[in-house]
Amino acid sequence: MENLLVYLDHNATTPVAPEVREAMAPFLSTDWCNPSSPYRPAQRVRAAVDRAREEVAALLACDPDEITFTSCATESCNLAILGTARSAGPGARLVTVSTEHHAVLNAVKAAQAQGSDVMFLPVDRQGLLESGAFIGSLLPRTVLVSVMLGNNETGVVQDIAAIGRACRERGILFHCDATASIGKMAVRPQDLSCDFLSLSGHKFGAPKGIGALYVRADVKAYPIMYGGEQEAGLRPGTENVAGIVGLGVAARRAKQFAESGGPVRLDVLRNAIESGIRGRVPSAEFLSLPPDRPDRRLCNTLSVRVPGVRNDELVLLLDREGICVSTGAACATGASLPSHVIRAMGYADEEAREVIRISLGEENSERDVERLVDAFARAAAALSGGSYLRTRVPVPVELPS
Amino acid sequence: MKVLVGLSGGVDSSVAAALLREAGHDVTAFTLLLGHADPDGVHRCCRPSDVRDARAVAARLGIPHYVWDYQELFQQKVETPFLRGYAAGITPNPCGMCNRDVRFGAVLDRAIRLGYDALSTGHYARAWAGGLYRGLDRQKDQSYFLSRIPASSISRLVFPLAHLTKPRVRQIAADMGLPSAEKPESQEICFVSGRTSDFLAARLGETPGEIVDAAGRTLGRHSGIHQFTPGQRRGIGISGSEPLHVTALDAGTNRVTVGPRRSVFRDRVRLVECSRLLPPDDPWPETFGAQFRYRAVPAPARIAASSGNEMDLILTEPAFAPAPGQIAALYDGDRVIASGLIAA
Repeated sequence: MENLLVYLDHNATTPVAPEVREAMAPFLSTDWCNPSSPYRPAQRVRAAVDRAREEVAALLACDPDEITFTSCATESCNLAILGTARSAGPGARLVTVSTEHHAVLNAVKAAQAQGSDVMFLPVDRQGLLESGAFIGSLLPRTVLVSVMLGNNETGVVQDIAAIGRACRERGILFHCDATASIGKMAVRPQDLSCDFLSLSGHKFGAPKGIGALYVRADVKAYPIMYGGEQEAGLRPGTENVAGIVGLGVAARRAKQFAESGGPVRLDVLRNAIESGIRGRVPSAEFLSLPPDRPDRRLCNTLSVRVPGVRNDELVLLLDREGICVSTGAACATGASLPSHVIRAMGYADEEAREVIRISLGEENSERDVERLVDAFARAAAALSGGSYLRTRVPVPVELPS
Repeated sequence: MKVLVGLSGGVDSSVAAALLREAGHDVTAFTLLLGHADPDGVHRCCRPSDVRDARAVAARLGIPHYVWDYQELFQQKVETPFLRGYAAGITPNPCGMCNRDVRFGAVLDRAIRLGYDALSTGHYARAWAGGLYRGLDRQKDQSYFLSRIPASSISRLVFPLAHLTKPRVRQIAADMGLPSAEKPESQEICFVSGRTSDFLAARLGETPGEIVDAAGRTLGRHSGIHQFTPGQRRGIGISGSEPLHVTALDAGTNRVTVGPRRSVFRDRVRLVECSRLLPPDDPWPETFGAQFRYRAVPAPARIAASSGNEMDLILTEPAFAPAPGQIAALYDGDRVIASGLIAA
């Protein structure tokens, strides 16, 4: 039992689904032709890329021509934001929210360095964008608004449809980062009034290195890389065929998962974790919105802090029991800066360093929930003894005279 | 035993971890991030390559490995006091501060909270039955830097290299095929790249003042007292009938006092912030060795007076330029019996 892995960090990445792996395999062995080549072996490859585009379009209920394959959601966000900012020229206004992923925040900052006028909107203590401040920010010269759907750290879901409508009425382009939301809720750019929408394959069963950007049919997007005519020139470079094929299958699976009650099942598991931790660790505070706001929280994500317990220590103790959870967004350097998302919600640095993110996936079971709740409660109890804020002060010991 | 071992990416800590693993302990490794990114984003220390090396060693040994960010605490407990000390005309010992407050302070607290029985590093020193002793390789012995650790913590420490020499450690690393076997030595202050004097000049700026002799006569000018430490001969820039050494630094007047070599020896040294490592019941030796610098030969000493956590030492053989702010480690043979900071 001890060595069975309980993986509860699906917002970091997900296992590659067996059907995805299987569908990709031919494109890493026999079907290796360049999809742009004219001969018959290449036509099979082109057909697979076309099919994948249709499957992603079906997931988003949009037209296949509105899908551009990229390497990841970070690239998609950069393409939407920097492409738009550069085409609009200096002085154009970009509006985003302080709880966005760094892929959006840092792309907006890069646009700022290139002359854009940028604005980062605050959120309230629950992580929700305040609609009054948002409407007020839509001044003339605003060319693009970027707001994420479900937050990858807290699971808070913004009212994207309302935001999208407000932008559309004013002729402002709207980008939505839906990376954390795919497969957890219906994501239809048309219903959300999006002009751009970013997603990443590895968050829902495809491998790392493949993403997509939805660009509404009557919106002109501008590339940030230059080369050949692949992806209609918006994203040049020979296609990552195996990745694209994998993304197509993962999209089909995500659609089936959503249509067969998958999100409801995740919601039940997540609520079981929440009530389990509430029962065993009374001091725990939940940063995700309460269960009575089901439309405002991702069904798979739970954000919780235990006052006085450092998140990196709790993660280590759970890891020792084979349970994988996260301190927030995965970071390559190992530096543990307090999460900008949690801080933007008004928490102090030390509080932000207590926040644990639990994110479920389709393979999780009730047994996983039981093991997590039990291990979480024991770890929290073990670490609650002494405050980590205390540092050891040497006690002067009497010296000989 | 459940042991938490610090892996820096170098050969010493790698072998320490490997020996613990071989002895059958339940070993978990960690690497500390201590340095800050410069404004240009370049880490001065704890480079990504060091973390990568540590990760490679942990993977080779099949032990879990975590990277822990202690940058804030390191700045608060080591970097800032280091700079303030130099600005105030003393010569701080950053390794001593880090060992006491970070590596064997906050990290030891964490190890205990996480349920580990012991904390281990690749230091050359012996921790035995609650006592701290010199490592058997006298060339590498690091007990001087460890002497600031409180007595209550010593019993939690394990130094697997205690009885090994550096060549033997390299041999073990090579025999085990550890990736760090050939890695060169790191000697300098970890958060300073290049020369310490350049780092201090860049961080503390120029604060020009006078260089004077013992009688107060002006002999020349200096660019900042932070560029000097007692005993120093280089960088004074004044030629005399005999070589001149720094004898004292005064932050109040911003003066550097110099004199001939014979004038820097001291036979009385006052220590502050002392802590005793010898258990209260063990008899305190009449005479003992007082070491004022890393690798210096200890001066035979006895206590003239002590009160609170301060003491006055009488040295039977004068010591070369004890520098205020540096560690004074007191030894009875190989055993560290107390430690303090040299008073200004």
